[in-house]
Amino acid sequence: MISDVYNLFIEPFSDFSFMQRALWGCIVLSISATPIGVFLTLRRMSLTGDAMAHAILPGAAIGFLISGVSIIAMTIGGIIAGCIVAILAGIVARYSNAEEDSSLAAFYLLSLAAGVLIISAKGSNVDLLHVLFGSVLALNNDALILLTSIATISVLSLTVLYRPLVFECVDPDFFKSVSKLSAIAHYAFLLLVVLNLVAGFHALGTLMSVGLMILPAAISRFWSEKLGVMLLIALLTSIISSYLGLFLSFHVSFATSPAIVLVMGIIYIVSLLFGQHGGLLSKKSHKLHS
Amino acid sequence: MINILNLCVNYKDSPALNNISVEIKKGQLIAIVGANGAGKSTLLKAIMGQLEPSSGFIELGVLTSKDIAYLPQSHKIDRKFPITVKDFISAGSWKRIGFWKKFSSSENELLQQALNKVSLEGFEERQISTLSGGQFQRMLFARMLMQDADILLLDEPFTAIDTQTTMDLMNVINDCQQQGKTIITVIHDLLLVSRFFPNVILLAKELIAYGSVKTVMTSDNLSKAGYQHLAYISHTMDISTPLTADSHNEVSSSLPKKNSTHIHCTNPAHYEEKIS
Repeated sequence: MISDVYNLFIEPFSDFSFMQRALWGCIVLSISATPIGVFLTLRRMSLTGDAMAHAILPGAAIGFLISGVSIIAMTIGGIIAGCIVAILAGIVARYSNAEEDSSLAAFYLLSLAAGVLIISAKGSNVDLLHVLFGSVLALNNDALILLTSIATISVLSLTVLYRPLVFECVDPDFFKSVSKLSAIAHYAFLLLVVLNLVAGFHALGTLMSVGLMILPAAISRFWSEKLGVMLLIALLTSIISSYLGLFLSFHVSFATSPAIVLVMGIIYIVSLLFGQHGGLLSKKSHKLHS
Repeated sequence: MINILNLCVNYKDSPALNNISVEIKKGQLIAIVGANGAGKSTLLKAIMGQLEPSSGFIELGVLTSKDIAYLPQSHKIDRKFPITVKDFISAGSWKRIGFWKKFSSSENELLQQALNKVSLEGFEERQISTLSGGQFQRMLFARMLMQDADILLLDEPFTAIDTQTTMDLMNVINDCQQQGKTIITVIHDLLLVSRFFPNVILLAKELIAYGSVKTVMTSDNLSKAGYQHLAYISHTMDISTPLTADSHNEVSSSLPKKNSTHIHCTNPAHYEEKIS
């Protein structure tokens, strides 16, 4: 009995190094991306995150065009493209009369089309699938080093930026009045978003990477009203979903990154129904609406 | 002293303030009054240095923008953000602790004093999303007090709160004035202005009038400021004993204390009801 449980749940990760690498990559990504996702949702920037996830695609594609499937080239390309779109989105929001959501949708479609076009021009369908859905089961040493480095930078930066980010989120007008760090904190945060999306892109692909940021954050909101607890719930949700997604992928041969995101999606729906804070069937929600 | 000379400010390429000249002495309590879009909040942001003048200038004398505390409009604050009252108010000590210093015991003491002054003792660990409108406004005042600044700028601090809270917070403002702080408040409630503010700046993108309530709140000036349908209330409002800068002690004693009631009008229709 115990050996059956071991064979089912542990063996895939103890006997196969590609599964260990995949799990390590997902855990590192979870540590790095979920706090960023919590702040993205609190700042009501989930759509921005989605648009930027696609914005890195043409940059990564140009890196691919120049150097093939090179982690360094695609990372640099992705970061440059992500930063350009972040700046452009800021300029459009500030100086244009266009609504922010329609501008972001335009950037997102443009980037996706350009990226797919570039990759299709040189690469095969396999390359295209790799870029769109990632290759979490094929993470090599270089990819793991990159993910761990980005996670380290991200966690350290967020530790330093935590207080200004919180104050900027809750009352931006006040924070501008006491600190000139307001704009710096905002753009540093966007840079962290880009970095994490590029990291996520290598593992989960451009279409799925934002899921690991936004879904755990959205889930955590249903279970706590305390920021520290929300960060913890988001992290645990992401790690558990990653494990279950890899587990399903190994035993049932599901595509890995969609499996991970689908597990998160199921947890999200359960939270939406039963979550203590705002869940459709929770007593607190009924009290609030009555 | 705050010296504003020929100040012009543009907002998104449109003129928001035009040729404003005002001299504000230390310790004054001033209301900025004007219709929506008159440039009231813009003037506060220009004094803080958040908006650059397109021409003219603002001098703060020996003070700098670090000596200014700001209470923003409450509707711009994310009230659902998961943060406790204590953490929210601690933002008031930002200029002393920055983004990495520890929140010391002396800061904690200041925080407790601020909470006491606004009657929010025991609310430290409450989430801000659970506060009522009045409690939320008291919390904003506590954060402003935590800043411990010489100049206080308040943007519509009494919007959508009950009479008791308004009077309690007017007491807090009056205490601050007695400590020698200069206080400038954007306010819509003309009755409150006439009763409790010795001096008024009346704006309509340009300066309509500046001075004592009696000289500024005339039907002529109110009409010029876009209050056509309210201009006649200046004759009926209770400004028979306008407050002056020299009589702030009188103001203090005239302020109702807790558990007292006072007429409070925030809606122009209420004025008309009063008059009829």
